[in-house]
Amino acid sequence: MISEKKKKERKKNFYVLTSMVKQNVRFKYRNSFLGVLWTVLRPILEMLVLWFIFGQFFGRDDPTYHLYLLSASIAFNVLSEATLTSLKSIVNGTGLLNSTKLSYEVIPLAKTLSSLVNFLFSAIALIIIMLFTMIFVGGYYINWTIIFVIVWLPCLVVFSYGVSLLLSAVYVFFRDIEHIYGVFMILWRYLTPMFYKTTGFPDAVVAIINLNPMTQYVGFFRTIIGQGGIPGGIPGADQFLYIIGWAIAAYALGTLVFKSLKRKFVLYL
Amino acid sequence: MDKEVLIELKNVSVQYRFPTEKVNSIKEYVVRLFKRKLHYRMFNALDNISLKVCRGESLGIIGHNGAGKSTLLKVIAEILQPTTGSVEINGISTLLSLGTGFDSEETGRNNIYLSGAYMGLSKKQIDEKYDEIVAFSELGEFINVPIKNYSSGMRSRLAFAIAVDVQPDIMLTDEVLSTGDAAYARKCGKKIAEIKSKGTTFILVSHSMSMIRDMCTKVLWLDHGKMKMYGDAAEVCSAYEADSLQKSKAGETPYQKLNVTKT
Repeated sequence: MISEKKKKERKKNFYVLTSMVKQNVRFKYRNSFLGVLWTVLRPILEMLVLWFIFGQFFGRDDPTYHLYLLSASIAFNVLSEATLTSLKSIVNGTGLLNSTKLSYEVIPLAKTLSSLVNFLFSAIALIIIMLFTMIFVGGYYINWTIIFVIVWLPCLVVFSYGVSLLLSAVYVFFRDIEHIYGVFMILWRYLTPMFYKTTGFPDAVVAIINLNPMTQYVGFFRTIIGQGGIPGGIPGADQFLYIIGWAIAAYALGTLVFKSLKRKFVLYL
Repeated sequence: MDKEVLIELKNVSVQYRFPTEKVNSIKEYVVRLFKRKLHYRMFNALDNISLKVCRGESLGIIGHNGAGKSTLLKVIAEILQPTTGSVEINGISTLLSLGTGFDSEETGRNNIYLSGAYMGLSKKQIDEKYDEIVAFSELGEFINVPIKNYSSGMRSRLAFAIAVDVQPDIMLTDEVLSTGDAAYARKCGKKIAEIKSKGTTFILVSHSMSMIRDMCTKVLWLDHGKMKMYGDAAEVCSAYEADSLQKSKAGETPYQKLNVTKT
């Protein structure tokens, strides 16, 4: 009897979740002429801009520098989009949470999954560019190692979800976090080797950059799709450990904070 | 008693701990922490409420503004967990309150699907009921317009049309029916009678005594979060009316005594 009720609850939450994700994706491209096509176009345009600016500094002896840029930007986008949209999600969902029996976690989860959907669209851009690279850059090809994306992507999504939970819960009590996180996001971006390469950096700086979880996620992604003109390879055991470890750590911290604060949400919303 | 008990509250209390002033930023919080100015007050929104509602009965909740009526509805809807006491709800409940739960950027059509989902319906179930909901709300072409362009009456029409179509076991309404025009109010009244006869229990918060008298079998009178009177509708309503008449003559306002305990 109880398990039946739980099953029903889960089914309901799943439908709510998918409706919310659809709504979020629709909302993002409302009133835009090209609509969802932007998710494919934007990373390519962004890549071209960055390539134009940094290409001659960091890309001189890297025939696949454009892939270096593109892979990082779409990977980082999963995190930044999930967290930035989740941040205010609990507060903005006040009306909803005050009128329906909905578990609070569904809202940041829907935001995170929407960023996953957007990633899948941008992955189309990546695949197109990879195919072009295969034709024009000798020695590069799409290796089977790209299959490791099925380990990498869930880890990145869980990591983003953990950070989202944390932020959305804290935002209920301290609205300053919006501005703090905005600035922190800039720092985070620059501490991730998105366009630069760490070769030649002092050891201490490299150590700091490696402590950044996003360095690990971006690095793993580049390893499996290929970088520096050579095709993808199998990531090392340490790389696996990093991406799985960070995902578990962020998820644990996020749920812990969220669970301990959520009972008080109603008093502040 | 052989009737099925749908709602049972035992000694339910809800306390809000609120700082004397709301602190919303870290800086302010730290400053106050150092100045030792973080005072909290416990506000008893609900104080030791016990009640039992069986299938087919309907309960009216009355009281002055801020007496805890909406808080009680949220407790029964299981949105708000009480600080102490136990709540037992058997069946599906929906809470109908003004202007909440809708996404104002979305069209009426999409909101029907979203609200349906929140209430636990599958897409197929909503598909089946969609035309009926639109017809009952009488919104016509407006169904494809974003909710932000609706009047409050139109919003409540939509909310009501969705809620009654779900056929919940318990329907909680918070002053929703007062915004409709006379013809629509009559239509709602008829619909309510219809689903009541099918076994839905109504919990109604209203300031309209005539509506409470018409629709409810039992009435709970809340006063500063406490149960002031609980019993037969006609009896409680007349007592409440007599009391508020007397108070307005004496010039007493409900906020003179706040049910607060200092900590």
